[in-house]
Amino acid sequence: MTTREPSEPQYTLLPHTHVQTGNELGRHQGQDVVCVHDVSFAYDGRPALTHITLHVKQGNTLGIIGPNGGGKSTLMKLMLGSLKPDEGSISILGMSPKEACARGDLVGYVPQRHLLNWSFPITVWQVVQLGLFGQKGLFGRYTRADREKVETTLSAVNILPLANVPIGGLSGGQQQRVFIARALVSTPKLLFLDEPTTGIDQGAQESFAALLEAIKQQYHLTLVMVSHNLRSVIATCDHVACLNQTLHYHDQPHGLSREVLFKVFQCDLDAVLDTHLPTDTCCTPALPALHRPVR
Amino acid sequence: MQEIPLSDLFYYMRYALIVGPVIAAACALLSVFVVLRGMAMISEGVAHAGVGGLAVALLIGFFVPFLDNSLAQQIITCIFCTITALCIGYVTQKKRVSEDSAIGIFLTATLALGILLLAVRHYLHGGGSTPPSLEDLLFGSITSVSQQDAYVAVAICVGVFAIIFSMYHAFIYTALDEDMARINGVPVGLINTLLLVMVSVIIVVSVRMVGLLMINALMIIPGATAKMIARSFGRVLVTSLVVGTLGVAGSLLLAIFMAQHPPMDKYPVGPILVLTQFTVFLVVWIIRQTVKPRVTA
Repeated sequence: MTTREPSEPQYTLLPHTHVQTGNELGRHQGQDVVCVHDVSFAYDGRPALTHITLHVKQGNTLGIIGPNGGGKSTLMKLMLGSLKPDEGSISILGMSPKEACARGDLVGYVPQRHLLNWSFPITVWQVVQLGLFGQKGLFGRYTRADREKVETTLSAVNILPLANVPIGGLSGGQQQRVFIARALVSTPKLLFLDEPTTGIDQGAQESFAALLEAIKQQYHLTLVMVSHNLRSVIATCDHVACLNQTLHYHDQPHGLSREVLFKVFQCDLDAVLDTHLPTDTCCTPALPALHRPVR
Repeated sequence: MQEIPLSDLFYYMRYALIVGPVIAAACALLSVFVVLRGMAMISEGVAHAGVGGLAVALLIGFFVPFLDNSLAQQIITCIFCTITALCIGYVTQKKRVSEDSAIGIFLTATLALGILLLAVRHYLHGGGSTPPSLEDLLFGSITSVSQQDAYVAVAICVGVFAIIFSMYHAFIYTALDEDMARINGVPVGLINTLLLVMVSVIIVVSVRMVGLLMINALMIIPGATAKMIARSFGRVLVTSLVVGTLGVAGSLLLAIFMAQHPPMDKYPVGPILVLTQFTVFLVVWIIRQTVKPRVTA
């Protein structure tokens, strides 16, 4: 485990920025859906995260970006209770992550698509229905009310016609919607998404962004999204957290500077900008500091 | 040589005709999860550990006469196999040893232990149960099953069905996506342990029927065959049960037919059970290659 780096603030302090000191944590916990306070974590002595503090307010969308190996997925696992922090604490809606997830109706999670066995003989309906397990328990049986929930959720993500289709027969975008439906069927308050746009084409990404906004409004969700796709994060998120073992930035996307991005990605900034920024950057008022003509 | 009347043959095989399909049904049910979770080699390792477990049981029975009976031997063997399976899972979990290496290590070590202890038992004079012959161990002897074996088989089958169907969605979720299931509150550790225990118990009971070398076929072929043709999980389960149960029942009827036609009456039944299952798998596979699947999405 490393010691705290001296001097540099972990993120830009603006008037609306969440207070990071420990003695004010309790005051903000009632308003914040997610509170990560001074969390550090290491895998077999190799530091993955160092002194991370961030908060997510109800109704906001937080995008977590960073390079591969920067700790994004580790932070998500910590927030889901799959890992325990070596230092610090995490609170989800006033509870520990494990308690919040075990409730079955507070936290939804959309994992990375490649982690699932898509040749498993199971239909879309059955996958989405499994999302109710947390509410039903080990010996629970599904009722008519549960079937209606599944049907409503499938309609909300526009895949009801595919209900009886095996998941192996779906396109990438459809698979992603199945994952979202599974997470939404339990009507959670908080939704975690891990690399939701990986492996889906540009058109599907755009319709995915629209879907995300629609379900956020419909379900009154707070979203936390991990992504390496700057474009989709900047387009969809209220706040951005730039993570590479430490938190380099945590604020609105328009405050993101080239210097911060270079510090986070530790590589040629042109490659990051050309690959990830919209081509009409000059017309995007959110990112004036990052404008660079496309070659 | 005088032909044995058919009615005598059915009477002689009456317990085998009960035990065979019943155990096949339990194997077929577990086969779906074994295949979908990629546990085929673990069940192979458990089967080989059965030799070690049986040898330990026989030695214990020699020194503790109270435990020198068929039921106690099966229980001790089950415990030994379950511990072996859990050890494989534990060693693999630490990530320093891959799963196939761990299975290979435990498979050979427990088999070697079993052969050594059987040799020790062979040279111990005095009372105690007679160790099974190597041929019976490797290829099984379904015709030697007794009434007690039939009761045990039915009880175990009912137990396996009860456990699976009472926690049906937990077993499916764990098989589909273990990490996601854990996040959603499924007691994944309990489900995995239950699955290993059930596999161990079924293998120990089935080894007598088809033998050590063949038991994995009952644990793999029905599920693998069903997966090729069924699109939903429920249908996979039903198809696996049909393939497994009817396959074994048909094989036993074939064995009865062969018993009336020397020299086929000398042929071991275990390999016939396996080859029947394999034939079904092969036919389904060929049909699957030639028939186009329906367009889905």
